[in-house]
Amino acid sequence: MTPEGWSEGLARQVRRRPRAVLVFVAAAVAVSAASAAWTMARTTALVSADPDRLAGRPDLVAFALPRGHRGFATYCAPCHGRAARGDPALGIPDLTDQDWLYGSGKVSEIETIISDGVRAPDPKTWKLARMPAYARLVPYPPEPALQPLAPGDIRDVVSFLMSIEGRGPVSEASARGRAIFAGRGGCYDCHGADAGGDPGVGAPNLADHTWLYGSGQPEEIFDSIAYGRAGVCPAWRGRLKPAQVREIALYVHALSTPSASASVGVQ
Amino acid sequence: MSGTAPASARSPIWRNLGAISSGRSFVLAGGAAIIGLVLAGAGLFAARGTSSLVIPPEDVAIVNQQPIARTDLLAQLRALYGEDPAEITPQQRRKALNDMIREELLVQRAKELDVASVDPDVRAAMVAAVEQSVAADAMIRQPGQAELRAYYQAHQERYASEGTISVSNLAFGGAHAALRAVQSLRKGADLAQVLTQEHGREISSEGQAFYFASRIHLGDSLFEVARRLHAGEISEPLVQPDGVHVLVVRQNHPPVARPYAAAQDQVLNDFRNDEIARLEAKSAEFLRKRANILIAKDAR
Repeated sequence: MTPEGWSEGLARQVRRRPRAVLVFVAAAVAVSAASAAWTMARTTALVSADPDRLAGRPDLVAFALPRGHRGFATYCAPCHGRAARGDPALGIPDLTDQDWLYGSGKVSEIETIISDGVRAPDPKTWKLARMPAYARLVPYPPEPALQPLAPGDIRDVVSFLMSIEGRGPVSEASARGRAIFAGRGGCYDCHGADAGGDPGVGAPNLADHTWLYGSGQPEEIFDSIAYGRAGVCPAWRGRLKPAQVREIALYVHALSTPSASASVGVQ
Repeated sequence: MSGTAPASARSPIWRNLGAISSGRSFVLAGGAAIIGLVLAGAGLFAARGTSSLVIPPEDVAIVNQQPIARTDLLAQLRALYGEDPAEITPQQRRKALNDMIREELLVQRAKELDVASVDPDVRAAMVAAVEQSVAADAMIRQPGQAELRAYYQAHQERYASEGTISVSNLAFGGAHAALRAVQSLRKGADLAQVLTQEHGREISSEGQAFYFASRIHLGDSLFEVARRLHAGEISEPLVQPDGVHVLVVRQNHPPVARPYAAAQDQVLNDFRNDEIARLEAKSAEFLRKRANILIAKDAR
């Protein structure tokens, strides 16, 4: 049917059954209004709630997850990927693995990262530290006292890190690496004396077999120590509404929670 | 009394959409007006920046139309009183909120007083904030692999590895002794023996070092010679203010371009930084273009 024929048919129906048409239009308007009011009420409840206690409101979680999924696909997936598995070549973290660089994976913490970013051009962004480049004359300009390391020193630290993961032997080299790690290298300052990381500054756990950059091969670890790392996440405050930020935070939280990830369709 | 007339009495003209019905027109126009008013009212009371008696759900207070976000209050409470919001008392919550309201009021007063015109710290913070807002636009765009590869190709020198070298720096009392030492070493003589024979000394012998470290140890002129030598090569005697030097290079790996896969994260950071610099320049240009700037003749 051509558009002209379709509109003529519609006009004929309107002339034949004007009351039915009015009732249909009124019903459509009423349904839309009710739907908008329901959505507004849910959104209001969602943003008013304590984000870390939303688990006790399954109705709000069920409302937020599909919307968070859509928001994630639009704003976060270009970097983290649609499956949120990240990209180890760029140091973009896997959001499904329960290994949190910043904080411990609470909804409020995820929300803060979405809003303020990591090393983003935002006054509230999370940027307490970055990985120094030990193969440079000044490895970490904010702390000029930190000295560079020699190539052999870096190889020793790599041996140490391989040994604590059980992927390399405990040797003289790893012992020297341990001393550098706990001493003049200053690695302990962010990563902790046990190399367990510090979620307060975004320093990764180096002993958990999860690698942010690459797959933990010795040459990749060497590159990280030699040339430094400083991943970023944009700050979405002002670009996304508070409700959108919370929906995405809930979705990301669900991705890393096995019981909830099934409900958001993540394998 | 048409308002009380039965439906059947008014239905022919009311129903006939081909005919003009003033009653129907009034009803439809009235309905549309009511819907419009409701929508406008909702928009007016819900919109940010408008005078309102309603606090949006995402905010915890509004101070002269300036919202204080719930997330900010929550972050403040966590910073002040610990991680578990359940342990925070209503008094602590009220105090934190009052402090935030007080801060907002002082900030608003500072705007009225035009503090930025006299306080260099405030000016610096404002400049930084505007620059950050410009940079944020560049941050949210994730460049494609083709773009990043093209950028890497165009700036490959930035992604060179740091060269490494292992070199011994020998010093001799005179040019003849140094020359004899060079000849002996090139024939494969033992280094310690040569030093004893020619009364030389080993000033430094470093294991593998990065180029920048070796440059510091040797000094610019000796390093420039060393970095051109291959592993196993021995320099000509080099006259320096403190004597005649000979360099023995045991290993030399000059800087090489790191492959794209290894340098990808740095390529992305540099790409973004360049984009930010470009946007900041454009922004400054735009602000200058629209500004009315008068410069005194003697300052031009």
